[in-house]
Amino acid sequence: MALSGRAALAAVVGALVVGLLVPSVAGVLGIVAALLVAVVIDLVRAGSPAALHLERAEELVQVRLSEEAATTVVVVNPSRRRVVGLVRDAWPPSCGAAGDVHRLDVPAGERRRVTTTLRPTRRGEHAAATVTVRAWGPLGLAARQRSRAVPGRVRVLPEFASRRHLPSRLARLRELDGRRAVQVREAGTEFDSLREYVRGDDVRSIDWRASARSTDLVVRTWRPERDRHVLVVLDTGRTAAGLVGEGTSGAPRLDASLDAALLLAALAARGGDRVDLLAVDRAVRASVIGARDPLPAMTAALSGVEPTLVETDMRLLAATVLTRASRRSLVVLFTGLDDAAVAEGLEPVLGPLLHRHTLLVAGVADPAVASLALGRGSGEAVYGAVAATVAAEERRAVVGRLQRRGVEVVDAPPDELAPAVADRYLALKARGRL
Amino acid sequence: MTLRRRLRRARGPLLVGALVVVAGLVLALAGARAGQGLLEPGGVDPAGSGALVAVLREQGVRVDVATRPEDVVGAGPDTTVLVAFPARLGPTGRLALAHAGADVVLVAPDGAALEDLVPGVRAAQAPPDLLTTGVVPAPGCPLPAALAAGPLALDGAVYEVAPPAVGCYAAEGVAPLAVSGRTVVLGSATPFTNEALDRAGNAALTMTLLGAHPRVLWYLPEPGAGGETSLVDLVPRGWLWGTVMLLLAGGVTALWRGRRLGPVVAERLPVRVAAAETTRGRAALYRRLGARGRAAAILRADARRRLAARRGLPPDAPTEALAAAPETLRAAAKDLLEGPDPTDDAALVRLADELDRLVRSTP
Repeated sequence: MALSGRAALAAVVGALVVGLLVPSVAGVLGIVAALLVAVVIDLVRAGSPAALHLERAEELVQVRLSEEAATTVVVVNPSRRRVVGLVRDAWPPSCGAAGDVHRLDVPAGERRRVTTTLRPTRRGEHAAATVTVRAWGPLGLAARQRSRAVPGRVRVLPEFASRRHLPSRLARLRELDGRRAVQVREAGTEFDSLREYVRGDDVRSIDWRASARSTDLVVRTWRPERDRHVLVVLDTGRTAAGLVGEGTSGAPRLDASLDAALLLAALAARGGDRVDLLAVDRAVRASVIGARDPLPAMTAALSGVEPTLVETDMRLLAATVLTRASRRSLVVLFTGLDDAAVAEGLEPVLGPLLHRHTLLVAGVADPAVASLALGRGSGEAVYGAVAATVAAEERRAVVGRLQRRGVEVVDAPPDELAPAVADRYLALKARGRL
Repeated sequence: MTLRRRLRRARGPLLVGALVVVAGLVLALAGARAGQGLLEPGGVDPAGSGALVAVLREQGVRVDVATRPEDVVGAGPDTTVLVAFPARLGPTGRLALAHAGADVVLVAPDGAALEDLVPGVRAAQAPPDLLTTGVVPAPGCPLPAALAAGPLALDGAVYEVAPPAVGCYAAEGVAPLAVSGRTVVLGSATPFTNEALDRAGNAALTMTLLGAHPRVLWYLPEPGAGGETSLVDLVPRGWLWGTVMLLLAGGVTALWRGRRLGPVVAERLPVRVAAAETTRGRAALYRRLGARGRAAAILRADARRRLAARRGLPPDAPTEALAAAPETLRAAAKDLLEGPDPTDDAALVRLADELDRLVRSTP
């Protein structure tokens, strides 16, 4: 039940009546009784929210972060009384359901659609809260109200802001393809086809054996290796939770890693390579293995992955990688490059990983530390610069140690990580290191 | 939340509350110790009557304090009742006084008290010169107290006196002191106060008035007691019941505004910690410890690394090789890269700036 502003106004008018006309207990009681009767009549005559059928038009809505989605509730009124009032389709705050209260007027036996616009501010899968219907009585003094769960979910996918880097990297990939087709066999290429010799072809690529069987000169063409295996591994432990970037606009390291992982997956899938995904901290959080179209599968799988405040179990991570990637693969590990975490976590398990696979470690550098290192002019700023220099030096040492062991390392600030990883992938592919 | 944290959070309000209670107690105790105000029998301030009461007690007169009409009813002929503020008397108080067998002294009574207790005496306008001249000469009446007092300084109310009452110190048809049977009416409270007791004949007047019987009942009627109309009774009915209804309307408004359209939606949010927190913490530690030597060493090592990168040398190259720039700069560069630790923060700030300049000026 709910009362309206009209009821409050009626009570105030009642106060005037009592004060000016009937200043007595009887007057007060009379006005109160009149109000009560009116409210009861309103409640009895109001349409019944409980009798309404509420259903969601779509059970699952998918939307990219920072984009808009609409979710619709269908209100069916099978009763014989019209329902006039308000309906609120409540969602968790981070779903950004501004304007979730709608007017509702459903005549008996009819149905209405109520559409709420969601503008989510957080990745992940969120369930709808309750749908509340408030049905006013004919006098507009009181309403019946009922809240009910109408199941529905919104899956907020990663923003994938690095999509804009994809066309230029794909062009590089095609260039790589085309260049190789006319050149001699190198590491990282595989036999493509035989074709007739045209002037300008490298004479070293003439296949004499095939030419002998033909009337023309025949050259072999090569193309970059295809059908290689790329395994993207996301470390979702505590190092992925730290906010990087300036001030309050910082985003967790994981967001930058996700973005880079998606760009890499899109690129590798177009490049004809197989892309798999693992997200691991103390357990495997997400896993996409052998998907035909890896990008949508990975986007969906990663939508709900959040960093957890635990130390990543690197043994588990290495063991999972070794079992999931049976043949030689490019393992791209997105993790933190903190000295202690790498020394105690990653380095002890490097041996078996490097023995079987090519390892690319990508770390998200913090622009806040970089700008701290430039601080000058006051004691506070210089001490900040000193601390940032120490941090940067430790990071360089970690990167150096990893590189000496044969690990490819990319260490870039969040907005440069995705293109940097993509470029490194292309470079490795060109060198035939996959 | 643990109990301790809850207590800590509530500390401020608790302290304020305790302060209010303590202040209230202190004020109450201080107020209770010494009565204050006009005609207060224990009062020691100028307006009190502590001196008079003390002298009476010394002379063997028992002085009791009464505040309720019931205390007055039992007063017999051996008692003098001093009514400090007759205007506060309700009907019950006036009735009690009328039925008491005691002598009654009314201090500056108003119309109602006069009508009920002292027939023949009515309040009057004081002639202006009576107030300005101050001292009135001879009493001119048979009241023993007035005879004993002689000339007197009286201010305050004056009365028109008609038989059977007799007026004293009468001038221009009005008198500040009147006697009617066993009741004495005095227009002013001043003679009873500590401040004025020793002026003119005040002492003689008051002592004789109150010392006539072995017991004095000092009657201080409670304000509002004895059936006085309360504030609520004075408010017009319409306002009263209108306000009651308005309060109910407030309740309805609260119900209207308080009813939410569905329950509050809660959400589990991820932890948000800035990754640079540890770096900032380390900077604060350096600063608090004044680790200038360490800071300088780190800045110098970083400058060396940047210099080496610019020149294409290994980072552990000797200072001479790193600072191989123009001859004039070489000594300064060596001093910058290998000099003593800065002595204060300002020197450290300068060192950082100069190292930057050195790196920039190196080709």
